[in-house]
Amino acid sequence: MHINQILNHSNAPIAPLLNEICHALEKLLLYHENTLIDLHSLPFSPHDITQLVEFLGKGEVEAYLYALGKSIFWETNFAGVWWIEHYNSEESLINRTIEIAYCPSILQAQTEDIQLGKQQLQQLIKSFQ
Amino acid sequence: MSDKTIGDSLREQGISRRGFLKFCATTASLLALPPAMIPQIAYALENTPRQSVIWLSFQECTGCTESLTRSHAPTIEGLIFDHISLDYHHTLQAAAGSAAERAREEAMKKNHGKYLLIVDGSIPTGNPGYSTIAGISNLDMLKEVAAGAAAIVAIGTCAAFGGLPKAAPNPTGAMSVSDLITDKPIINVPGCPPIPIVMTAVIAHFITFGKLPQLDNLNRPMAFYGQNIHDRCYRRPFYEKGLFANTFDDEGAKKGWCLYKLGCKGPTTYNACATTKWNDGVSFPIESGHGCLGCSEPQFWDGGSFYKPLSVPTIKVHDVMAYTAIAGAAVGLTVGGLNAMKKTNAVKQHETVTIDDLERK
Repeated sequence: MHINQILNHSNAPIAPLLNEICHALEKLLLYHENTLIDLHSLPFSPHDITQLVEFLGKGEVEAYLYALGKSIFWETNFAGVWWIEHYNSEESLINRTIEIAYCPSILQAQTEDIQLGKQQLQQLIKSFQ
Repeated sequence: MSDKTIGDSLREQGISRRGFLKFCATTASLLALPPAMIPQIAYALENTPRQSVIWLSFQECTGCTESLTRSHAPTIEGLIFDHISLDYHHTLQAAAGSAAERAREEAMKKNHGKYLLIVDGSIPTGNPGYSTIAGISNLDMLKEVAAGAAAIVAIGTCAAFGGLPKAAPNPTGAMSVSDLITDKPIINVPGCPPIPIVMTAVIAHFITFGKLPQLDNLNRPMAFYGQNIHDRCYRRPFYEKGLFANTFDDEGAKKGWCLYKLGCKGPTTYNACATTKWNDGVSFPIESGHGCLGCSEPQFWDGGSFYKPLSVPTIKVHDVMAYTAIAGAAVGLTVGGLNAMKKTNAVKQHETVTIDDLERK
């Protein structure tokens, strides 16, 4: 759908949101700084969200995280703009965000988990010897 | 307080760092904190010992506890409640009688000055026999437990403002927590019942920052009570266009138009129902076709009819229109022109009244 059609038929603050995303992309390119936009606190109706998803589209990457319920990540048609939906274990949506980053921060392996994994692997290797 | 931290408890359950960060991101979102605060929340939750909580229930219907315990697990509510040390809650705890009271006394002694006191229900100040626990009057128990609390959370409209028990003629002399305790930080989380996530977010904030969140003039957390229902209502555009439901089954009601004329109290009610919603995010009263009752505001039971509009013109617009039509024909003016003039006058005379104003009339 064309952006003008969306803006004309929506009561939601879609234009300021798109501007914020644009500024965040500038910040990412200049300073390598990520931005997380919380959609939960914005007055978007389910219809507005559907239109926004349609407008941003789906790009080349889609990923799933299974921790305390499922989370879905996809890069939109605009590289570096990621749509993120967190669900709980009963598959209810608990948070919806847009992250402007090279890769969503939560998708990267976390130092604490790497340390734990390394210990477990070392123990496993010991048990073979 | 238990020495085990929330981080320890989560790790014991096999929850990864990613899961923990997801939990922290959702908590930040709930508390309307900028995402940049996520690392601070993560650090505090990882390293803070489990918070001791004493929950006292006075003149109440147990609806607040129901609201909280009926939330779908394992949501944020569930996680927070799994990881605080709820040392006394006479409805939920297994112990009864003197054993239960001993648990309360022990927790008070062990965590003196550090525990969080949660109160639901109002306190009768008439005959102390109206409501007692283990032979102790509600007023005495509140004073005793409040003395050693770090802060008090008044959950539900009864504890925050007196609620239903305080409604005229207030037979028990019901009072709110802040009417009786003045030397402790008190946060009001009103609602009948309050939204579960608001209750747990307040606890999460206290655990994270060691203090209460930013409050409004009625001591309610700004993150949830900072905006009124009307401003966040998805039916608001219909209000702007002047499209209203006039009865619960007319065309306007079927089309989902604004419920203002059916007595919706959204414009004077500060709460998060329109964005947080109820029943695991399914809907909120206005989405289900009924106006807001204003349950998170003081004296909502005595605020006049739930079905009377908040703001009414001082003259009857419809009658004026009819007279205008007759007068217009008699003096040769166009009906349209007079209508426009009378309409302008009606708009000028259209005064906004609050619940308090309605009560006075």
